[in-house]
Amino acid sequence: MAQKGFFKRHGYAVAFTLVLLCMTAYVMLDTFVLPHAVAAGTATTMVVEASAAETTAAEPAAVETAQATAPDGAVSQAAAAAEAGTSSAVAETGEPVVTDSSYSGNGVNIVITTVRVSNTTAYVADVQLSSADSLRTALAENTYGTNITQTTSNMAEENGAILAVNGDYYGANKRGYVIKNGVLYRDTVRQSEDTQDLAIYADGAFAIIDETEVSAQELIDSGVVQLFAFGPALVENGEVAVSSSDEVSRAKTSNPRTAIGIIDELHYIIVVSDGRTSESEGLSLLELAKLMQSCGCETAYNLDGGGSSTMVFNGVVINNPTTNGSKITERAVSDIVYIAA
Amino acid sequence: MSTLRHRSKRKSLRRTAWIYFGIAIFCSVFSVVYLQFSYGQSSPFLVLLFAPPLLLGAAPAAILTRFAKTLPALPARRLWNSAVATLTMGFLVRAVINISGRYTDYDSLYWVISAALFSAALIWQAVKFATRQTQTKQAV
Repeated sequence: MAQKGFFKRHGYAVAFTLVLLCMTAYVMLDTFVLPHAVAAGTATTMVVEASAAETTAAEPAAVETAQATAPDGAVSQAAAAAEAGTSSAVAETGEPVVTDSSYSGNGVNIVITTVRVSNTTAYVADVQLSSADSLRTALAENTYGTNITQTTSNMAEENGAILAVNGDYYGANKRGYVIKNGVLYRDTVRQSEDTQDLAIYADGAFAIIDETEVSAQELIDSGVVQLFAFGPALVENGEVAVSSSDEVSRAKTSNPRTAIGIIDELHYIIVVSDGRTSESEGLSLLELAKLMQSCGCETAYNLDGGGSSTMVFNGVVINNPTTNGSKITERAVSDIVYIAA
Repeated sequence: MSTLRHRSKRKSLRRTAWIYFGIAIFCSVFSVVYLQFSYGQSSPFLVLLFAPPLLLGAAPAAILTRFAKTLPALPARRLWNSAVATLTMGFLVRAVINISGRYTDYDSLYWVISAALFSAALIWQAVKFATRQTQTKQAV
């Protein structure tokens, strides 16, 4: 009887609450969990159609062994940096020479150094290529869609990556340009207040573009083969492009970070920093930008960070990725940037 | 009888105001705790999570209890409460999604539904008021 009275008085409230909770549960599941495959990804072997870049890469570019001096000065060089010496050419033939922190051969020269900056350990990969084809991206499960994820190390292994880092986690959003391996997957402008993207051309050149100023199709037509929609740009024309005052709120704090930059033709810097642990606080965007600039980057761009930040070298995760707080585990992400021979 | 019903309505509305006030405090505490664990990421929707229950729930209920001669009908109050609940949930959903670094169009669903419910509540009450006025005139 009392139950009947309760439902008579509160039945509407109970029913409406249930409907609202169910709706919210669906919204959350659809946003964070339910995978939506839209298209199959491109196989990595058929990517980057333009081979023009290969012709320019034969120049014996001098390798500046990643003597990345951290802005704070505290630098601990990896053994490989010393091994690699101060100058060498990108080895094009013969068996690759591989150590724990370097790779040289098949047109790929990578040296990884570990630096301490702002109470944070950062892993700096100095990458020199003989062909832009070696700089590739891969989609989780080789499928384009939202909430389709895979760990960076798994994707790296499946694609034969020498070096891999997480990408822009395009699958977390339903808008924003997506161009991977020369294929245009999405052409809707991002909802974010920051609409700066990093475009990589077939010859390996970098450019910072704004989604509100150029269409995705125009980018494809102009030869863009990879596009990263995260941001912001860290370094432009050799100058730090972020400041402590104009950073978006999320960027002011110290976090694990991933960034990619270009020094010169086919000469790249890829950085992953630890964070959210007692050993490493993490970097702010400004600190990351200064680090990229100190490495000599002309253009540098911030990729997805936080728990996503992962660097895999020769099948080994070399940083300390944090997921669900400070737990050291690798997070599954939508896409990776990788170097393959 | 009518006076008794009016008193009961007023008492119920006063209780509603206190409940909304409690919800607003809970939302504030929730925001503070959530921001403590969001690694510096924030959202205005989380910071203002307390606003819908306070400004559209507690405040109108308190004002009506104190000053109104005619209190809103039960269906209108239910619709209004539903609107406040939907709006608050919309704030929460938008905040959680934005703090995770994502963007969504789903929040517009909450804004549209809550706007429709607010409108329905106001229309219901207006119609009820107009009907009562007509009946009173006819009786006179």
